[in-house]
Amino acid sequence: MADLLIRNLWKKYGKVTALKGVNLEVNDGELITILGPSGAGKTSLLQTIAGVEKITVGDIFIGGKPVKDLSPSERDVAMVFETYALYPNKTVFENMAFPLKSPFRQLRREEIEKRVKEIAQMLQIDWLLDRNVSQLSGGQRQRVALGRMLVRHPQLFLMDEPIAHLDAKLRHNLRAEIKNIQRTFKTTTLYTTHDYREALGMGDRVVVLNEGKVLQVGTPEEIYDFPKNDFVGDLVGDPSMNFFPGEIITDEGQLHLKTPVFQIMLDEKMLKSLKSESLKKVKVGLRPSDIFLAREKSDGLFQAEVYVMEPLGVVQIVSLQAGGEKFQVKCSSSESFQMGEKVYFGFSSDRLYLFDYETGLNVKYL
Amino acid sequence: MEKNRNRVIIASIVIGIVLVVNILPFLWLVLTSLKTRLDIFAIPPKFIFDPTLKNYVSAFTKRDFLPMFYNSLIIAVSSTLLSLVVGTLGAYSLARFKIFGDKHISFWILSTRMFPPIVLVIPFFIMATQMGLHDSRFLMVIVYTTFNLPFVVWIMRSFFEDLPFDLEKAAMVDGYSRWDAFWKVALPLSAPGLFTTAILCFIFSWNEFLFANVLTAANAKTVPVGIRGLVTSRAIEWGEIAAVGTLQVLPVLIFTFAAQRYIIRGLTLGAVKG
Repeated sequence: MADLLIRNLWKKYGKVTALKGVNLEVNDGELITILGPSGAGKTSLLQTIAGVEKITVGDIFIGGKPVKDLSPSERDVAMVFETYALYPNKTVFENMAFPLKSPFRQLRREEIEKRVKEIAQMLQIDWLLDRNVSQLSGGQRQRVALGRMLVRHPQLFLMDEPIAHLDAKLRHNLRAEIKNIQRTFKTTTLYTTHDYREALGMGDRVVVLNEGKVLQVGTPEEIYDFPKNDFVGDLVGDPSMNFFPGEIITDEGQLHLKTPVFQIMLDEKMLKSLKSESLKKVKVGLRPSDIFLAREKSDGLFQAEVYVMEPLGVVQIVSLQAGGEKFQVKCSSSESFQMGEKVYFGFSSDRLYLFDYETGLNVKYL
Repeated sequence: MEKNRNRVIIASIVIGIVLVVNILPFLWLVLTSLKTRLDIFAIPPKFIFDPTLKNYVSAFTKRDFLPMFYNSLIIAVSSTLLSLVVGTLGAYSLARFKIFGDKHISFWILSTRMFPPIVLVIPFFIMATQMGLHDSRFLMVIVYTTFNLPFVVWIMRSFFEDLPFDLEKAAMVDGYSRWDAFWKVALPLSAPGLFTTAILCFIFSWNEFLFANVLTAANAKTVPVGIRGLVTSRAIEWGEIAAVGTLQVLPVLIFTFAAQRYIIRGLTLGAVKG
């Protein structure tokens, strides 16, 4: 168990730059999820920490110790690979015992057996120990990969999209299980995923990574409620955030926010967050779940036309169209609408996100 | 049903023809080795006759085939081992490490097999005599290794490229060195490829005639050269040729049958997936 410090980390593969100056501080015992689309540099980040990829520029400290020049085995970290990377010619037991037999540990046979059995029982794969890994299902392989990581007591756990290739139901169960395991072992953990649900649901803190850069680090609530820029806002939430081009205009001495779909007066709170007065053009973000629908016209509601509906059980996704823009609303299924029907929608103005039109930065962070 | 049966019949005929073409010469060889000189030349050919081991006995008593078999074995095994050790390491490096011009290096290695081997006979002969290596087993091992190496490098390289690199990375994270990751993880997984290349290297070295004929005289003479020696100015010793030929084929045959499982896996490259 140890803390982790990454300073200005760069990773280049030939002409491709995978990491562009990553800085990150992870506290001892923390579970950090790294959220980013494919190609964001998540795997590169974990593999440079593990030492299987060389650092181009920068420093990594594990437990305060610089590890830049240490081999992977000297760094004492354990990793689950996206492909599981189980040794196909070995049994489950041999796979899990492999790290314990390494020249770095060389435990006694009884000790190895004890530890492997203990972890196997915990992961409910003790009945598979004599099987060859090629006979296992995806979920079972995933458990073996986890087991191979857990038999050691390393400084860090690194998990590279460990459950991305499992079916949805299994994924949900394992999410809770992995989180529970991490709490039990209290080992500092880095966990990458491209699924915002995993990232927010599991992490003590979430790191949003894109194109090799850290966009935001924060608690799940911070990431959801205060996305640093439009990319983070778009990444988190399903369906993703609606965006409209917006203008700040002066109407009868009052500042208004005007989009093709709606126009509202800016209240004090919003004006406060608009620190830069010169801001004229903005990108307006509004989460589908923050919009409500009504059949009757009333104050503060705007008109739109139902474009398409997707009932999903308790909730439904309604796509609306207004002012030449299409956007989505997530609401309860209690009311059903017809395609082409005229409806009214509204929202609380404090649920609006304003992003700088050029840089995409949330105006609250400007 | 009708269609299915036709298919079976056609398939059987095709397989039958292939079998006749492939096995008949070998059968002929074995039968000839067991015939007396008179039976060999009998027309029509005899399939039922009194078998004799006379040819085998005379090959080892009248002629000196025992040391030749010994030479062939030493040379083929040594060259196979040498090619595998050097070639596998080279192949692994080409597959795993990005080095400047690695594509060109691979192509250059392959290009050494692009011209007819006979082109090299004279240069090899001159070099060998100048270094005093002519007619030595050591020379033949080196010569065959030069021919086997490109082959080993290319087959093993594609084998290693098909192995997920994550396996070795996992081993390194698990506390093993770079070398251990190769030795304990990558190499055992490419065993089918190693078997296949080993057999093909062995067969090449074991059967090679051209270079052995030019570069050996007495000390390092191999079996194929010895067989050629049975065509003399006085007579062609068909019986002995057949007897030695049968013995020459035997080890390869046994080895191939024994390792058949691995060879099939080896020939279908990329059979190892995690």
